[in-house]
Amino acid sequence: MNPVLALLRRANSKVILKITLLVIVEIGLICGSFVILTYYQSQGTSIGNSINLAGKNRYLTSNSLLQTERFLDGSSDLLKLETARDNLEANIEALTYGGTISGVNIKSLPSDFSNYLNNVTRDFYAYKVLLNDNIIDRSQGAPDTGEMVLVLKQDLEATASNLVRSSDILVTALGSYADNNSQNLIMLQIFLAVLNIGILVLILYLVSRILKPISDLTQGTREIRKGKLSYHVEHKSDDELGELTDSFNSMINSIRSYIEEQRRLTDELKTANEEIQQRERMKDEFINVAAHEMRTPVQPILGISELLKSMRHENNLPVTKEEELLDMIINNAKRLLLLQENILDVSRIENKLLKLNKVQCDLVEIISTAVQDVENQIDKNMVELRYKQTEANSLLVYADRAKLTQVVSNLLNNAVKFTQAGSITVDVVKDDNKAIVRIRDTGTGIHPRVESKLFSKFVTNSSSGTGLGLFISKSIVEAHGGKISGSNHTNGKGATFSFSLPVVELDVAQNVEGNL
Amino acid sequence: MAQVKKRILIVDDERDVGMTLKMILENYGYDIDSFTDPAVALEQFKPSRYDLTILDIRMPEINGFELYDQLKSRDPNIKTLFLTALSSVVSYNTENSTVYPIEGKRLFVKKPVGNKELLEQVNSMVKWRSN
Repeated sequence: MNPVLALLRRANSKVILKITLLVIVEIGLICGSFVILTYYQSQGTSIGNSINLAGKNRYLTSNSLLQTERFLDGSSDLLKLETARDNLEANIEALTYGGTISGVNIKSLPSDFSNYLNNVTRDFYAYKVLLNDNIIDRSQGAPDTGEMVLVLKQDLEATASNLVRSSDILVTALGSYADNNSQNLIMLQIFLAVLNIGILVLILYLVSRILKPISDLTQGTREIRKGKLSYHVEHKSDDELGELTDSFNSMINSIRSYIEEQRRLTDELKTANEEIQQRERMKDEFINVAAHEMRTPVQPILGISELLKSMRHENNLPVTKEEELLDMIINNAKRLLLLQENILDVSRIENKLLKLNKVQCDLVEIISTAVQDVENQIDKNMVELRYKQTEANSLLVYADRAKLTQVVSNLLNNAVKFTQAGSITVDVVKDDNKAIVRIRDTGTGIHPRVESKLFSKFVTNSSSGTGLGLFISKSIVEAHGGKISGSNHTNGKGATFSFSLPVVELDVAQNVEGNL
Repeated sequence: MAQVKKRILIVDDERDVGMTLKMILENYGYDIDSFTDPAVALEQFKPSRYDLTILDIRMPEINGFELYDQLKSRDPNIKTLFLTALSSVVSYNTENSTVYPIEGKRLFVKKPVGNKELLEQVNSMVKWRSN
């Protein structure tokens, strides 16, 4: 019951309706063929029965003649004669009107044979009348003379032979009819088989036509998967497969317009991004040019100030306030240069253009040079500068000498700047594969305000700094694969800054030296 | 002893820079010809006259490299110290040049240069030829 209900519920499906109709047509055709063939077959059988009946006439007629002769001889009684006559009559009636003979259902003959049948019936009645009038109805009367009997016999035989002949004609007609019928049956069978196969092929074609949109859609998905978003599946039917095609097409349209919108937005973003990058480049270029242009005027300031100073020396003039003023000019010109360098460095770091010219160099030597450079900036009465060398005389690192010097000088300058009295201690130790440089001072220490963002840009302990030095130092140290840190001493006096660098292995170092 | 003064040619389009270099080096006993216009410097150039030329790189019309090429075509033994504010030029040429210090004919120095360093470089380059 359930499948039927389900089918009924889905009756609004046009596809199923179409296919159902085709199936019904096919079933109808098969049933029709079956009915036609069965009818033809039964016709054949019925004619066959009629042939038997008609053929039986000859025997029954002979039997009737035999019984008549016997009756006339006196060797048989009237009853047998009548039975033989009735049997013949029943047989002819069955042939004419149909009925059941010995359990076989006999149909009346088709009208085509009525002429032949009429002949048989006519001949039978002629025979019957002759028999009844002259023998059966007169049987109680006196027997006829021998001559009369002979004439009667001749008459009866003639009529009987008429009956037999007409029956034979009927049999022949029926036989040829049956023969024809069976020929026709074969033709019909062939015709129906061909028709059924033809219709089945046609139905399969129609079903494939109905289901064509599915393969069209499959093809569509294939094309779209290849990226051909302009693909359009043709609408071929008005059923739900047609609806599916329509909604597929509109889905692709939406996807296409969505993608186009995304593409447009991406393009806008790209343009905006390019604009930003262009501006960034212009800004960088400006910084670059401006910073470089700043250097040119410094040359005369610095050169002339130094020249004046050395001229005073050469003339053995006493140290005066003027010389101090010249030093101030020189120091500030140098600060201007440092600031300019820092700006360029920051610009390089931020644009990831910081290039390291790495060579084998001695960390101990670099620190010594940097320490010597700051020594004359220190008031030796107030601050003691100590450099504790490591146990080894040299500590080889693979680094950019100038950049590394910049880091050490920067840390030293900071220490000098914030230490008014006490000591600055520099030491370098080797720990596993690392060299650790420490600069300890007894100065003012790191202000709590800046402690957490010590190595960020524009963070400074004092009002005179640019806040770029530690940021640059950190970038340089990290570019060398090292680490930098800074913290206050727990006693509240001063701070320690340290950084580490990977050390070159000794045998590697020797090989390099050997190659030089 | 009346030592012959070494002669140096300075070409820098910035008048004050050229003047400063001239004054500093004159103070240390060099004889200086200073030009602000490279074209004029070329015009007045005499081969074998100078022990050293100091050239600015960024100049209008004729830059330092072009000037160097023209000077060199007239005096193959010319020794030149390039002065530039562009640190990338200095580091590029210092790192990649096979000329310096092997030949001692070309040197790149970053501007501004301290008097002491300038003098050291100039002295060593001037001396190099007399080796």
